Amino acid sequence: MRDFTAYVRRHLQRSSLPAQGARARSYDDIVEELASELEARYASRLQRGESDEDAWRAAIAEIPSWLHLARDLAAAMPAGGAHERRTRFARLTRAVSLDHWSRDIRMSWRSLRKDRGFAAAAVVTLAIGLGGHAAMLAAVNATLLHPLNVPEPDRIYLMANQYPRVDSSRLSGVSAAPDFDDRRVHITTIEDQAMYNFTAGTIESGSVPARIRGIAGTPSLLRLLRARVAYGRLFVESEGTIGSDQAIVLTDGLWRELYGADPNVIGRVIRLSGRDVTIVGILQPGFMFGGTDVRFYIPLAFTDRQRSDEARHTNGWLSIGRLKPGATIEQARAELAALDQLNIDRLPQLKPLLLNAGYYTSINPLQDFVVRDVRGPLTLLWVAAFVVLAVGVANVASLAVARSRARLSEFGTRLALGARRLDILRQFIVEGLLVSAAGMSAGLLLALWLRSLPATILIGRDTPPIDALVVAASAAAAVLAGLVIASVSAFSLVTLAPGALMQQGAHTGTRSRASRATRRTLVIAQMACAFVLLVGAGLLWISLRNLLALDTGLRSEGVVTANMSLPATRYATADDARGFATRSLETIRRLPGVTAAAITSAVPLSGNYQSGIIMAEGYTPEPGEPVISGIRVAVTPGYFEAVGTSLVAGRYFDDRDNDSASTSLIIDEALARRFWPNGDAVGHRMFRPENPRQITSVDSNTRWLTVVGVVRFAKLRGPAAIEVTTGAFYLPYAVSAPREFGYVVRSHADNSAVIGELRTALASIDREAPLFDIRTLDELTSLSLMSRTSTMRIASMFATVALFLSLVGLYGTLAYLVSQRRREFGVRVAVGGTPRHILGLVLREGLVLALAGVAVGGGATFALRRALAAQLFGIGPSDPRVLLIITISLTAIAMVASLVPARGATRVDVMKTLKAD
Amino acid sequence: MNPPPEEHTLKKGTAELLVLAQLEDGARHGYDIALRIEQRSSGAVSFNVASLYPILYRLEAQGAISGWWVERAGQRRRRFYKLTAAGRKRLLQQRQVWSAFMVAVQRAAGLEYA
Repeated sequence: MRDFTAYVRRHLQRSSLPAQGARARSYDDIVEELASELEARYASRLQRGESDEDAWRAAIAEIPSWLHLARDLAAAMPAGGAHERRTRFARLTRAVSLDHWSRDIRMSWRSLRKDRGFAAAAVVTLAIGLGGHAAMLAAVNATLLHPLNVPEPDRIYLMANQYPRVDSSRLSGVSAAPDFDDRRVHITTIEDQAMYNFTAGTIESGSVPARIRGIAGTPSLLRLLRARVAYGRLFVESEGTIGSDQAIVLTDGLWRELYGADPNVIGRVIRLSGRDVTIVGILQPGFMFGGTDVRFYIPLAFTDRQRSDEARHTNGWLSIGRLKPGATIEQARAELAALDQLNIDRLPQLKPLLLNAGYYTSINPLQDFVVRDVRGPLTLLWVAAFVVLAVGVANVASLAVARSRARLSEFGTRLALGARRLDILRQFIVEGLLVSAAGMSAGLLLALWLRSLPATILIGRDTPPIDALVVAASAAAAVLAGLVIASVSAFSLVTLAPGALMQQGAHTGTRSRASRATRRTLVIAQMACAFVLLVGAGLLWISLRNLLALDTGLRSEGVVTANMSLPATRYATADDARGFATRSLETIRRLPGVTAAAITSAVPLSGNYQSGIIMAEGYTPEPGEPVISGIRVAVTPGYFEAVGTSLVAGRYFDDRDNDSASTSLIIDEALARRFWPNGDAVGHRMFRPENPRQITSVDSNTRWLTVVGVVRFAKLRGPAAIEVTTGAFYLPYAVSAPREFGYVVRSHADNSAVIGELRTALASIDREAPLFDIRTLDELTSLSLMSRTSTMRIASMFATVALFLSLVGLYGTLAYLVSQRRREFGVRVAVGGTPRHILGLVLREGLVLALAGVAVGGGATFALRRALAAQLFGIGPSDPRVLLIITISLTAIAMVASLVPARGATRVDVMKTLKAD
Repeated sequence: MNPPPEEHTLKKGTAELLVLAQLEDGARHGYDIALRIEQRSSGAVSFNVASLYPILYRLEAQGAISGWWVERAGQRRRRFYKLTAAGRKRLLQQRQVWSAFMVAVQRAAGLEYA
């Protein structure tokens, strides 16, 4: 074959042609065209039987004078940009360049269609990886990036009173009522402050009263959140005072549900928990604060007492504010520190206590507070999804390497015929991008289905939307994946000379060693990723089991709980509440199968709890020791029997403690040990300071309580909750008789039967006192662990997919390696090797790959241990048992996956392989 | 071998017409165009690569023809040309011009038109 291209290039000087604009015919194009023309004439002469020498001479005679030709060509083609832009020629050449890409796309499409196996496998693998990743990205986007759906959410800060030496488990989020006035006056860097808390109410819609959640907030709240009304108005300042606060603002959702989007409800009076309130406004749709289950807003009005010094440090509300434009958080912190100092000095009796407790006011972005529980799990899951994607891309890259080896001779021929390496590379890129684009489309569809999975981890949100950010990020990931695949495919192309490509034996030697090493590395990386994910999922599973098996101090089988809220208008006094309590408990205890029933101010595991300071008579705290604060629960007799908390000393509550003047007290072992480490707590006296003054000075007004019993420590907030470990104390319900309380009922009977009868029994006492949130204690336990359960499930899913993809990769690579070593196996068999010997060779290869993957994975697990540790319970991130089990399992499964190619290797036909050379 | 100068001048004038005419019934590549011209004129008129290509490029620059690359598996890529709408109009024009000219010359020089 004569090289006409080189010949033309040699004779046609680039400089003899005028400088061309970007759209003009390029020198290379001219060279190529002339060369192909000469070659065509040469070829047809050869065909006619002329000798090679004659044909060649005749062909090159077609161009007698290169100088004249260059001159004529230059004259024929206009130079320069402006002229070209005007002529149709310019438009034509533009079409030519687009022509490149559209041709590449057509060729790639054809090539992929011919190799449907590869295309299908690649698209499916990428779809799985990109889909899972997109779903987690959507969750992260909705939850971590936009947790508050209000304008400028990053300027909203939460201020809270912290007592780190009393309870250092984590940051508290609440403040006391007097802080509202203080902060409005003293913190000038914050504009627009508000206080609020979550509340619930019963709205009578139709015949059935429905229990709905809402927010009680100062009138400034909705203004601060820049809420807009569709009808009516927001609250005015005057509605923040007692007596003028019978107003309510509904969310769009609630308005549609109750009143069918009737705009004339403004001004209507409705009954909320037995109180009359007037609807003053309907919020615009799309406004969401505090979770999708917040459906109404009522004004928060503090009593004078709540605003007084006596109520300082009785923290129960969330205090937020917007940072003024231009102000910095450091300025706000400084102002808060100054205010703290002012407050510490304000009440001299409290000062030492506050200093001991390490009191200060924290200020942090509200967004951080809102997501603090889900940030960890979601981030880990997203990383896991990304790892799965990487494993998938590695698989597709492996496949692409194999595919590109099969097309080597095709490329060699094209290169020899004048194609540029750039053209072929461009085709690889287009192929890679086509595959990844298809994978991304399928993946996004998959993500639409998968995105509901992490929903239970999300805070008060519906399924996260697949919005522009998610699509853009997925597209970026897809493009990256496509380019990775293209570059891996083109790697061998770049390093080989065209002649070498065309030879049959191109699959031996250094190049094939490089591609074998690439595939081996990919498999090891995949196995390592699968190992890490498996270990992570395994650890999460064990953590969950540990939590479920934890001795919570409660026996939850057969216990039904429910909540009750007595309407204020009909149960105005504590006596009314007590009366109802007694009557209802009598009725419930008579129900068949019930062994114990009681009322409590906070149902265990329901998320409600209150805490209070408790002090023991005669106990002198060490200097610097903070006050002791425990969970405070009011219970009727029968409570401990109902929830299954056992008695350690003394007695349970009984009828002696059923009146309002009772001074009985039961504490748990934690408190008992704290105050009386050596002796018996029973019989000793304790008291609860009702205001800050009483903390330090006991006087004749002190209300003394006597410890009548000590019970086991109970995890009232759930097995996973970071417990206030100082303990809990129980007071008789009859003393405070709150109108909001819960029932706990232990029974032999079937749970659903109990629930039905409970409802009927209470309805028979008072139709209008609704029972709600009826759940068994087992259900409450599961609910409290729901976030962890979801995390574990999703992590397991990712781990399984990664494992599967890795095994596919291992299988593919071993099969490829076997086919590469066919000749070697043929030789071995020819010189007397047994099939078992060959089998062993291949299995050993698989074993080495798997163990290498485990080793790398083990190293990665060790490196990531701290990130993982935060999500675990009762087990360390480097727990050797888990690592061992996963190592053995992964290796065993890998061995099984290696069997098929190994057995294929033993069936090598000696004669065929040796003859093939 | 260079053609005699008179023929060269005549050929120069009719070159565009000849090239355009070969593309009338379809797209062709350069070698094909040259081949057809040679065949249809029974060898009297022939273009070598050096003569043909400047004409092709000029025609393309003027928008009378449009060219594109075709790549077939296993073959070097070739450039094909086709007539554009403007090219067709030009072919028609050129034909009319040359016919009229031939008639005029015939009359003036006393030729018999074969």
